[in-house]
Amino acid sequence: MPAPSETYPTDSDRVLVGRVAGSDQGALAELYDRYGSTMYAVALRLSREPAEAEDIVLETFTQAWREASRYRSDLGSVVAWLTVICRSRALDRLRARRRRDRLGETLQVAGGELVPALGRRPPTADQDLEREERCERVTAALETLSAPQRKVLELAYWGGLSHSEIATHLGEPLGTVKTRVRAGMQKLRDSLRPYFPEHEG
Amino acid sequence: MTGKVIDLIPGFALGALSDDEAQRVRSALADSADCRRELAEFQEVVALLAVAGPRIPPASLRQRLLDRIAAD
Repeated sequence: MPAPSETYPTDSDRVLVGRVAGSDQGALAELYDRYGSTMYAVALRLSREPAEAEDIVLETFTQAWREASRYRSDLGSVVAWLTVICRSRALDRLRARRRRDRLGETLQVAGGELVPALGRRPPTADQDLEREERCERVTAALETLSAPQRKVLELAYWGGLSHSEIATHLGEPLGTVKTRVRAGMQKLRDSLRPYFPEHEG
Repeated sequence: MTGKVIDLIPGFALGALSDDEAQRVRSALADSADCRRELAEFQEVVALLAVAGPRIPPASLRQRLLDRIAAD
């Protein structure tokens, strides 16, 4: 695991934000460990682009870092405060994207095929549907794995751990971990193969 | 203990191998079309996990944040 901060887990959210206001980097790390995934989910719902959602989360916690002294616990919970920041950073980006798209269309009209790729078009309803279906298939595929297989893949992919780090983390033999990673990935490949690009219609 | 190199490819696609193992895979990729095909497939699996897996940020995001506020 990305080293969880040892010092702060017992702090309440409010105390934690107070430490962040005092420029305590460990406290910000703990705040991220508590709410990073939640903010990522918020960002992804608005943006739909994983890479952009990551940037939005970065901006959210950077802003929290700079403005922690403005947090008022009497006005709401820490997670609500972070969510407001996150939504507003995401909406800024969506608005900027729409402006680029409009500009792109104007230039396309004016200049023929000169600038086809300047703006990114918002996803069509069909693309949304396709994306939803793919998410469901991936979730379903993950659910067909055994719990230990799913665990090692989570640690490898979302935890960024190597085989030997996973073995240490779980207290399991290295060979067992390798076997589980391989079997889990093979099972995912079999169930997801119809969704590989070259197989799509 | 050294297993078959093709068995290392799922771990390679995930970036979970040791340096030695990753080096074995890279050498094998140069020589073997089977290995390349295998890797291409597992890379598709990893890509699907990224775009359509559980909505959890990748582990690298935490470090990016910490680097950024340290430089702030």
